[in-house]
Amino acid sequence: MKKSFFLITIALQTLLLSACLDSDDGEDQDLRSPEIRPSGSLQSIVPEHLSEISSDEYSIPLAFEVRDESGISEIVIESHSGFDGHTHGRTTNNGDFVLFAYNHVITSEAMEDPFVFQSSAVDDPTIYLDGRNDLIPDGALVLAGPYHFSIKATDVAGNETSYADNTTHHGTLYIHRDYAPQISPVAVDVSGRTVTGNVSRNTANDSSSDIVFLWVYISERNEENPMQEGEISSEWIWGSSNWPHQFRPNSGEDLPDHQMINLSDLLSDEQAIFDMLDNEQLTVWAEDSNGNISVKSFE
Amino acid sequence: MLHIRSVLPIFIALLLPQLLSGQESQVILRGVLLNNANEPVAAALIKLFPAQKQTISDENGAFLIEGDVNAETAFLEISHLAYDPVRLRLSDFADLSNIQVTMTEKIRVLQEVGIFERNLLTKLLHQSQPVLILDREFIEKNNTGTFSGALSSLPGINSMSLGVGIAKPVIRGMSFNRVLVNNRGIKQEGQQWGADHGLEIDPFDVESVEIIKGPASLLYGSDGLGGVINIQADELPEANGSWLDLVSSYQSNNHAFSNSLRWQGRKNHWVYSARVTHQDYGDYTVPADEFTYAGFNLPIYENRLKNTAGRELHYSLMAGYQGKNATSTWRFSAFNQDAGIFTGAIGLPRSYNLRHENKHRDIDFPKQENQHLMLINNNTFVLGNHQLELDLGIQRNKRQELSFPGAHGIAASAVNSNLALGLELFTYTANVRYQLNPNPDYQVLFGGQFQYMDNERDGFEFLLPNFNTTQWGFFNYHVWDIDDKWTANAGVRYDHGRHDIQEHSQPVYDRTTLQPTGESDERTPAFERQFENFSGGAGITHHLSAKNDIKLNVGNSFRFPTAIELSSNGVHHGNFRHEIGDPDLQIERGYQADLTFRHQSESIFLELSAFYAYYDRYIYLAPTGRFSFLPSGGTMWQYQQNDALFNGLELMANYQLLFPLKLSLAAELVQNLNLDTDLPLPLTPAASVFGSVEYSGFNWANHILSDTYVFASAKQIFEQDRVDRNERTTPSSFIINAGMGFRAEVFRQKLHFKVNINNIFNTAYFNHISRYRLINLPEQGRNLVVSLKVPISFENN
Repeated sequence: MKKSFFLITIALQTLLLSACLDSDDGEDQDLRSPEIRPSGSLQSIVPEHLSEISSDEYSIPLAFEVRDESGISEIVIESHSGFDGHTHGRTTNNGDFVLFAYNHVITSEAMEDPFVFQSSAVDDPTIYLDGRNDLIPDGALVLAGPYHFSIKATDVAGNETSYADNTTHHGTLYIHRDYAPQISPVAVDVSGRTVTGNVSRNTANDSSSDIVFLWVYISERNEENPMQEGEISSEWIWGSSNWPHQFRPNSGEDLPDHQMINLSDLLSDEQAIFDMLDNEQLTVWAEDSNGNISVKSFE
Repeated sequence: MLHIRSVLPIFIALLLPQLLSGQESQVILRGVLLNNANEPVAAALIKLFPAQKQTISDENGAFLIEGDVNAETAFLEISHLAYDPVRLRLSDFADLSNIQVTMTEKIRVLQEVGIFERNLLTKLLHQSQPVLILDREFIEKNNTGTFSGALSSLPGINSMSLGVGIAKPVIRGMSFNRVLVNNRGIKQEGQQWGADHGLEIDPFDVESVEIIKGPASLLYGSDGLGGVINIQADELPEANGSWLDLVSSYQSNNHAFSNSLRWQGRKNHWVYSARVTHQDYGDYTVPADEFTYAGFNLPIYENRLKNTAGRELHYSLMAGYQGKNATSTWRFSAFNQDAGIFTGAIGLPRSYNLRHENKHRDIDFPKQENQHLMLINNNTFVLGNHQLELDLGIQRNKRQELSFPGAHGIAASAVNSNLALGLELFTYTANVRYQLNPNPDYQVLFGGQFQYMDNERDGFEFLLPNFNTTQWGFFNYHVWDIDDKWTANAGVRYDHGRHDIQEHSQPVYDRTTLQPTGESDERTPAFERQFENFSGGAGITHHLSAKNDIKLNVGNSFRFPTAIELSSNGVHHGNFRHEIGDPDLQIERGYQADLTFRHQSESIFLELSAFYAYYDRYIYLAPTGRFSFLPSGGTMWQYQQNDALFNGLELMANYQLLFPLKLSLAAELVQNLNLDTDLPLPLTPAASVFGSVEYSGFNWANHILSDTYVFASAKQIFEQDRVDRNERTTPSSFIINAGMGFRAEVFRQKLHFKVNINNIFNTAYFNHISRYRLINLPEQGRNLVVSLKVPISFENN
């Protein structure tokens, strides 16, 4: 009797478990997110990570393609400021200036082919930096600086691209403007132990303002992943930032001047500058009182 | 639709047969307690029920106890630390003045402790469902800083965590509002719907806990769908005196210091206790110096996750009166936690913002500040053979998620606060249970529950509106001891719930100035929902033999949709997505079968449980395939409901070898399937097997140390490849732990010492249900946990 009960128990439990919860058609389901890839014969998605938008450019071309076997649901192209590393998010100091922003959703209804979307199919595949952009008021000036940019997509089954597996296209765009601090080429002469270069206010531009913050740092390039921002090994800070970061001091010694800063005066005594390795780069980050940021890196 | 008027007659009909009552008379019981070797058992506690009289056996094992009871229904309970508890009916004794009881030494193969099912609520569950009972010793032995973490070594129990300081329990793959935490008779209410929200329980302030695996909503109400963590009321001291104990522990991984001091005592009928716990921990380390996210190989400087430090301060006060026929206690507790969140967990991490600046104990943004205040009044009244219990509670749960406004597209100057999401929930609870014992073979329980919740939101982010929720219900349960072999139970329950959701309009911020535009969006309209539910269940236990039991429980359970499921509409940064409620959600119902086989002998304990459940209108978050209109909102996910299946298996076994070596094995498997999508449900724990060997034969050291043990354990967690859409698989892992412990007496002061080394080989592995799994961060690395307990008895009279 005992034995039979035991066997019944085991049999029942096995029966319960044998009803393995595998679906009949689960294996055939599309669980892959849409693929965002370069358009046509291009080698990369446009704009690329770390793209530089020069002072005379007021538009950023878009070129990409999205594919999905179940059908694309939505694509969103988005850009927002990366001035403060997603931390404080201060507003601008001058009413004429606004942060650059872009947010455009393309729905399946706007796509001719539900499985493949070409950015060229859009009437005007361009991101504007002026009033032609819905988010930027007419006459407003876009603050120069680093902006984060992304292209994301979903399909009709609910699969979505993600940062975690790098299926979302993302990167940083550097927008340069004439009214922002101007950074001249910086050169380091190791044998002569001199640094040449300067940061200046473009007084010829009426919208320029005084330089209030200077951050110079040395970072190591990631050889395995050249598109990755490097780890900072040395840094120097002067003035006070408009855009406080969580990860570095936001003020330092007073700037020697607010309109013309000779980097030689500031850096010639810094041994780390002359000990820079081949895989390291020097970056100059300058802010003005309007909130513009200029960033340039030198190898 | 069911209505109370249709249910009431059923309850009245069920009540009528209970109007049976026996005659009480004075009885005097004399007896002696012996063990199997016929040696007297001294210092055993003998209690006479329902008279609530008690005494302690003397050095000859003799006892004398008297009281006014009905000899037909009264019984004795005898307990001793070293022996199995015994319950005996007076009607079984031929001569009440010459009672002889033989007590059997406790089988030391169980990790759980044996307790009497003197509470019918407990007995009902023990009758037919798998229930784990854990004591203070178990929690201390497995404590890694959170209460939930201490439970996760048990089969069927997992811990959903955010780092090392924030965790919540998962039972058989269910969590959130499907696991009910009953804290000393009161359902603990916080914001348990969030994967990144922890359970606000001081891990040191738990004396004994029952874990009910499987549905228990018939007895505990809505939310007891997946299981119940039932934290028992503290055992009141039996003798007069005062006691103090201090537990201190240190964890090497995050340099965590924990100290908990408790004072308790008794003066005649008055009992009291107080506890204060302080925990302070730094950033924790992982066995990796980089992690991969968004195509970047991001550094983990010094293997230490930036901003994962935390601080906690908890305290509790209890005072009460224990009389012959009435016991009443008041208890106030406060849980306060300030916990950092890994810098890279919100927003897109970059290598430059993961530097430490040598501040391993600082708590910066983003972070959580959590507080849970609780006032509980527990009352027990003995009414002849019957018993009335009344539990009252008031709770305030305050949750604050702090972040920089800029990360949410808002200028700091526009809000002047770093409070992103603030939620303050007040809960008022009243539970009443009336236990009738018409005869020794039949018991009945009537119960009623009432709960009112008031939620207020704060902060510059919006996710959940202000709301009020009222729930009440009553139940009736019966237990029949049919004969020595069979026990059956059955019950019915009626519940009513109502949510009053308030309208919320959120300011719109300009994306280029981050300032308010002056416009606002109505995120949630005002609406009201009412629910009512009638449920029932039955179970049966068959004692195959003295050593073998088989239990079958069949029943249904239910859960009312919560306010978050009905009315949320905002970015949940904990999940990187915009979550939207559905005001039209219906009651979620489950139909479950549990089958458990248990074998228990002197050297072997084995429990095998299997369960199968069908859920009608299971509520879950599903991707809509559309993008949020909110800055950094990600995609929109909406609460939906579809039918789902769950099944699984748990095995727990201990084998005590002839020599003092104990082998333990635990295994668990849970599977589920969304019948609409034909895909598994998300955040389902992976199957695992746990084995341990413990040696305690250090008799040669008994003159110095006692209760000495050493152990080594290993856990194999299998790959979780049954995942939902947009959820990644998690690879398998193999973790080895070891530890030792002993008791010693130094200068007449007793000391309890424990050392554990968790993850000895510093293995890098992922926890599938960890929040940090989303950003590819491995779990905590090697961790040396040292703890010392100092119990002091400084007054006895």
